[in-house]
Amino acid sequence: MPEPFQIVCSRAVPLLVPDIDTDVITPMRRMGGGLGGRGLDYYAFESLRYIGGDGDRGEPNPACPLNDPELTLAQVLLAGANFGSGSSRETAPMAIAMLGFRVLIAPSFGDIFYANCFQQGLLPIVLPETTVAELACWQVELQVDLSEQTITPIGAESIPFEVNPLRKVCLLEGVDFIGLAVARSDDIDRYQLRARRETPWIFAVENAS
Amino acid sequence: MINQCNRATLTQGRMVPLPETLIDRIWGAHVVSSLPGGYDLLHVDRHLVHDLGGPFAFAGLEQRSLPMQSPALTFATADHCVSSAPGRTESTNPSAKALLPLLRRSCAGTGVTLFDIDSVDQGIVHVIAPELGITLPGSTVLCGDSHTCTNGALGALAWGIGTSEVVLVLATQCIIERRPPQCRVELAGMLPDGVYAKDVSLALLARYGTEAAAGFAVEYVGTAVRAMSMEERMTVCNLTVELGAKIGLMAPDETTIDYVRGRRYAPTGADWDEAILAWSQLRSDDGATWDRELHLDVDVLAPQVSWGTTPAHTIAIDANIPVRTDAADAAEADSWERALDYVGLAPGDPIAGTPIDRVFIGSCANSRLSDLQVAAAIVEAAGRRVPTSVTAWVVPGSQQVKRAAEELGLHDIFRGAGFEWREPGCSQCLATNEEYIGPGERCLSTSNRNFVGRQGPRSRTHLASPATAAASALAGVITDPRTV
Repeated sequence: MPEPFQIVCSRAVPLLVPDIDTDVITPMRRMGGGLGGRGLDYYAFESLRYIGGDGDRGEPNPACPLNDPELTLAQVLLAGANFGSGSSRETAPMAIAMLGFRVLIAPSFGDIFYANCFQQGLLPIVLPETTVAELACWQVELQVDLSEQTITPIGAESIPFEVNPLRKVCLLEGVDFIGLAVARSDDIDRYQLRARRETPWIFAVENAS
Repeated sequence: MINQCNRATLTQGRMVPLPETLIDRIWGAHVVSSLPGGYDLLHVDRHLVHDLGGPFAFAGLEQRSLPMQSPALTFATADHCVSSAPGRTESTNPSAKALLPLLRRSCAGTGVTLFDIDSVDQGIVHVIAPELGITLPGSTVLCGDSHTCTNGALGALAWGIGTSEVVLVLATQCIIERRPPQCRVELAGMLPDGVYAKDVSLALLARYGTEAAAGFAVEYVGTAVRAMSMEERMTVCNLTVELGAKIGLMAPDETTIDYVRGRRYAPTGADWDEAILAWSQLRSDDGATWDRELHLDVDVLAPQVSWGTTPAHTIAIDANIPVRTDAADAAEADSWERALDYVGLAPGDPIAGTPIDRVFIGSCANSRLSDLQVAAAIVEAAGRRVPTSVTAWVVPGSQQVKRAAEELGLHDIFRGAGFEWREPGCSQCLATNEEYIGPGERCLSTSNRNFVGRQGPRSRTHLASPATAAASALAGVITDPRTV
């Protein structure tokens, strides 16, 4: 389960290319048991992070912002539009979390990726493209406060952001939807007790097998 | 039913229920509790697990040391990863060899019913769930596969979920979801000869696009729906996800009840009587409102075939591939150009007559008995053989379908004409099982996705009905089945 979300104070890695899909984030060819003992994070963004796009050669591409030595501890990623589009694989947000990020800021996200981020304890924030570009320009530390729903660049005005109230509570308390549903087991038992009476045909398979 | 009237309005001092849609009605009956942010905790009546996602989800459950809530409501099958080669075992291909033992161990440990590779009921998950009476009208059905909407044909609220959601369902027999806005799709008229359910879905995609119902839940209504068999309805519901909607369903009727009656896991005795009474209430109220409405007249349809790299890149089989000036804007024209470059076709050319290398009759869209019957009838009528330039596969959706087809002698018709008659599974639809279309090869496929690389690296896919697939296999070129 994810750690409870505290206030994040960190520089941001600017990766403003649009349409970075989940195949770029976690390449399919590195998933089918082909990791060779290396973590998901090693091959994350492989085509961007390594020279020749080949992680096996192991030479980091110095032109890639994800390799900026000043930003190795950054917890915020600034991304381009339509970030995380494509395949629904949950390894994509998992790998991003393993790289140390907690906050993703982009003009838009792939729908399924956006939902999957919360499952991995990541906070995805949608801001206008111009604002994301400004944050990238300033190169200052950002304070991301989920309780207040604000991003404050050091020395500048706070920027408000939207988040679904349930997603917010889950992040702040460090529970994902699995934890949330498990905590409602009494409700579930009560529902099933009643449903067994009112729709017994749904539960008849319990006696059949 | 539980919590049936979940919306009401105060009229002259009395609470009067608002008209509900079928989706509202089933949704409302499954709310375990309401959560903040517009989410509901919903009960999952049937959970389907397959060999590709299942092992990872069970591992997730183990990692959290969580027990399963209701193992008897979950059913598992081996379909995505297995080989379809005649005489196959789990050792035939590496993916089944790696994943099946894991799935088997998890199912044995939790008590989940598994239709294993050697089971007489094995088959594609969305073929066997209706066929075995696992999917029931008015139930909620989830599976870690986007084509779970197929099960909506029975009047079930069914949709595909991600891996961590599968863990959630295993642990709690519930899902957390927001009620989606709703889209009514009316299919009016009667299908002409030679035009099938698959053509209806492809025509919808051609007309309205892959974003037509993005974020919506779809209810199909209309005279064409009522006239369709259950298997045809499954084909239409299957392709709902290509319209962008996770859910697509049809109100149950006599056809549905006749279909479910007597199936292995269908209710019996007093349960059955009670069930059909409840199922007769499963329809949208007069006066119910939809957030979006689409309409298609099926009377005028020709057989459809896709030409590009999304299912919406579709035209009538007697039409020409669109040219730049047909596009709505420059962006669309550019995307058409990229698609045509990938599939190696030219704008303005007729699609019929395009030479093909492969034919795949199968997948959760079109691998049921009636699909194979239609294809076999065309093969028999044509009295020709598949040319040596074409490799044509028939992959039945399940062992039950395979046996029924063999009892009718369909396998002999196919084999006699040079088709391969294979074992049930997802096979070439998604190519995770070492069964794929070679680089640059052109495949006429009855599956549901023609994305770049879907059937293998650089594979070129044309989606169509089983009738069009059979006619094209025999001619070696894309062929209008009405001309056979």
